[in-house]
Amino acid sequence: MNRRLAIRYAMLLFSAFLVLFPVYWILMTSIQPPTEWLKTPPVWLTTKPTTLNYGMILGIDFGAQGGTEAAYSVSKTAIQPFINSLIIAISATVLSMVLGTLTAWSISRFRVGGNQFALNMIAPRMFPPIAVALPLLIMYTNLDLLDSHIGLIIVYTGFTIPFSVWMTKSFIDDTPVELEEAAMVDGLTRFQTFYKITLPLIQPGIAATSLFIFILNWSDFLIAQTLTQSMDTAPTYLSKLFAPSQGQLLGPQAAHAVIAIVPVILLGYLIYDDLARGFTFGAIHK
Amino acid sequence: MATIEAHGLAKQYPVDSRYCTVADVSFTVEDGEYFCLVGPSGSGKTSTLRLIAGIDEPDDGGVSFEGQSMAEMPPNERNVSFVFENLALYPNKTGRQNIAHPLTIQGVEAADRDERIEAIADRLGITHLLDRKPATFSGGEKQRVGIARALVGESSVSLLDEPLGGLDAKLRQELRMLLKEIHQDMGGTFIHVTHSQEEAMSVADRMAIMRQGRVHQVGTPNGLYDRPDDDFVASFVGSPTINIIDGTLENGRLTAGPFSFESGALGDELADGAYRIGVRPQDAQLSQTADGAGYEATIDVTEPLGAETIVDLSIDGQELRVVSDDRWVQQEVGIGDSVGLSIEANDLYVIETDSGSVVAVPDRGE
Amino acid sequence: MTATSKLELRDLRKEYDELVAVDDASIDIAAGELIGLLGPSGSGKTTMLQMIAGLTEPTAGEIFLDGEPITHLAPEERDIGLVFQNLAIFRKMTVADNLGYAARIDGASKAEVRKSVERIAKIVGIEESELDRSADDLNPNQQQRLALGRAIADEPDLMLMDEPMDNLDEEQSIDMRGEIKQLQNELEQTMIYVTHDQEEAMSLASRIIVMDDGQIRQIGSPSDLYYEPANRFVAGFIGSPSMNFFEGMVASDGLELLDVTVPGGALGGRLDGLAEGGEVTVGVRPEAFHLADGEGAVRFTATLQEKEPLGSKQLLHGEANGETFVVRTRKRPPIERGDEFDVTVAGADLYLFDAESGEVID
Repeated sequence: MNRRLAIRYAMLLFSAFLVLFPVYWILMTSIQPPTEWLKTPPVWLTTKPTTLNYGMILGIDFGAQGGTEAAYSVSKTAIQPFINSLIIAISATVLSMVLGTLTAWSISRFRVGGNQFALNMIAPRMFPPIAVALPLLIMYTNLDLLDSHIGLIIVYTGFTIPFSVWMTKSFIDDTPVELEEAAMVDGLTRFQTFYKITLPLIQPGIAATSLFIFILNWSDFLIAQTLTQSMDTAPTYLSKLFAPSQGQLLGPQAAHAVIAIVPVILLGYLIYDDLARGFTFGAIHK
Repeated sequence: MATIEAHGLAKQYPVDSRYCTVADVSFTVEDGEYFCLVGPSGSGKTSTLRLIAGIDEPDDGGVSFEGQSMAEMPPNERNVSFVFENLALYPNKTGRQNIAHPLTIQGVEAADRDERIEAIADRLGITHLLDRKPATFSGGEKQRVGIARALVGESSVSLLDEPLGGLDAKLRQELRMLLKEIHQDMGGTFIHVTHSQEEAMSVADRMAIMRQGRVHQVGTPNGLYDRPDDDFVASFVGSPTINIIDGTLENGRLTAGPFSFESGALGDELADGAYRIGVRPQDAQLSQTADGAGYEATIDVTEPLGAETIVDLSIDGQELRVVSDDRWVQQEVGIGDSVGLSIEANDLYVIETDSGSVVAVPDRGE
Repeated sequence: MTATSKLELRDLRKEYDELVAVDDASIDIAAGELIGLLGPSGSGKTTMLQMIAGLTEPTAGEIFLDGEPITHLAPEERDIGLVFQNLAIFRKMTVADNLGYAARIDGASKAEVRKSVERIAKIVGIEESELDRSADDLNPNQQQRLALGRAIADEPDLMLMDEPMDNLDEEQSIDMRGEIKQLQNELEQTMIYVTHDQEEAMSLASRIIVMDDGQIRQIGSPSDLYYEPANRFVAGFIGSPSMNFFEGMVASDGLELLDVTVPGGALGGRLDGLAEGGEVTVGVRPEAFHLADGEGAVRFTATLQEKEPLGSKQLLHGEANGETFVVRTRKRPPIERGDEFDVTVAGADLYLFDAESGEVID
């Protein structure tokens, strides 16, 4: 028994390490001075922490650390890209969820589109997005939607609706239709039963799905890269953090990454209770 | 207030649905009546109730309230209330909120609302559940909360689908009478679906006997008991079940099993042919000796149930179930004993074998 | 206390701290009897059964099976078969394996085991086609039969059943009842059947032990319990619809009841020895009421509150003098709610109980 337990703990620790080490590494790199970024052997724990990297990407002068470290100026700060990403990711997530839950409800309750509809919707999504990158570029050029918030919002919504439909549908299926029927008899219209009775009951599912979709939208690089030039989202900005003389600016990149994690963690924290229930709730799928 | 008419209702449900087909259902419920839809499972009674509520739309036929057609009218415009067989209590609301729901939607004032909730909770004995959630309720408690939610709104038509299913015998009897009382006080029309004929007889002013999507007969409890139209109704209504014996009518006599009767004594002119006789367990008489009785029977098993005794007998291999109110049957005879059995022609229901129609019934002198 | 008794309980007692679950019970059961152990929940009947089975240690008292003391023997050392609510069947084994378990343990040959299995399956009504199915796949009705079959297979000295029908719906349990009764009769199996349903007990048992609050209230045949209840509890518990109870008071010229005075003579001398002014609970069975044309020492007028037309009988809910009651009649009086009707009861049909102790006044 003890041996089994020891092995289990060992495996847990190992998995935890695998997941948490990169985070640690990035945190560490973000406060390291340039000299330590690529040092071999790697610097595990810096003795010279600095706010230089954060200063660079945020355009804030925290005060140069000593005078010996060269300040690599970055042509633009990360602030606008982060704002862009926030606007786009949040809008696209909300839009995707609203359309997705409505569709899921229609499919679940009224069998809209036939029995295979949800499946048909998600199957094409299995194609790698790069396959449609070029066609999208052409379309967007014609429609003059390049470098726009709206443009990306539309694409992200389109890409994530299959997920929002698929995932919320299973939660709606698990909610007895009799509750809506009872509510109709009580005096609500069919549609009212959707948002007054059923939606509240699938809150956990909505939370879990929203988080999933937000992460997809927030971290997309490929589509954003394809459809923007002068505008930057957080991921595209990250790719541009290099200086000809230095190569990849690992420190600022790490700092950027740390900042980028914050909204996701924040969102997860806000919906934590619903999240815990949501992950298992829909698992019991008939 | 509403007279409810169902005419020619028909609906096919998808194969995997839990609801059964309605083939052709018509009946009228008078304003203020307590009406029951009774039948074995699969008879389409729940489906019919859903059609009346408007939860489902019929493929054919229609429903009218007070002469006004309900086609195209969704449930929320019909002013009905519904008790679902599986209750459909909102799991994320407390007992109070569940019961309040219809009132809130109707826009009833908070004070009035609370008063009505307290009143009905008190009547149904569920006050202690008002601030708890359905997951913590027992089966019987869920049932009562479901009933409270349906009746608190005092709608003109209340539809109840097996409201007492799953409760133990004692609780069921108590609640039956409570439902009747509430109906009396409220004055609305009730339509109550059940598979228990005894429950229906106990509460209904009139009832419709259904089987396989059709209505066999509509009538008062005693009326259906005394004058069933066909063999199904005759067997379905009345407990213990009526004894049915196959027989033939020829040469002026109807012979079924060991029993024989003059066809003249059976009333109307009956043609020769195959008939069945039906004898209610309560209509046969037992006597301690076979002298003077029509037949001699041997006791197979007796069940002493206090006021009455259920006796299973055999006469020449023909099994018969009889109910007797006499004490001696309970206390002085047992398995293997012989007793006298009398059945008069006037006690018989006569059924035409081919059509299943009942052609003669006992004259109960009413 | 007789030498031929199958099971004897002497002053059997079970206490849990302050609670007395079973209060000095003494019972004698003969071989081949089907005994009903009846009472509301919490009455102690299950505790009693558990002590007999050996699942619970008595606080005091003794149990004898066939004259031998078994009070402290482990359950497996007693020759007792159990059919309990959370069925004792092996879910992962086939039906045949379940039924053949006892025989196999005894070392019978494969052929013998099969023969025994088929015989028992037939007795409890399990189809041959079901024999090779997994016990888990059976419906509740069949599982019930399987549990019964397993218990019978052991051919125990005594069989104990604890509310075995709870998982079945009403129709199924009524059918099973008849089968159990016939089965018990054929096999002459001594059986104790625990239930809270008085109709079930009445229909099955040759004698019933009625318990309430840890105490045995009365032991008797269904007929005895119904017609000669020893106390108010038994009188009200046995019979459906239940006995009606009224408040009565002893007066100088008889018994005052519902605005009527019943002459002492009509009560067969039962009032002798009772103090004037004393309170008496009067019990009347629903079928003891006679309508208008009846005769009896007690006559009063009541208002009809509700009618239950059940075809073969009519139940009339009436109210008189503030007290409500139920009348059971085969007649069809043409009265409606709110109408008044006359009722009579014979003095001999009145049960008198002491208002405090509940004991019957003979």
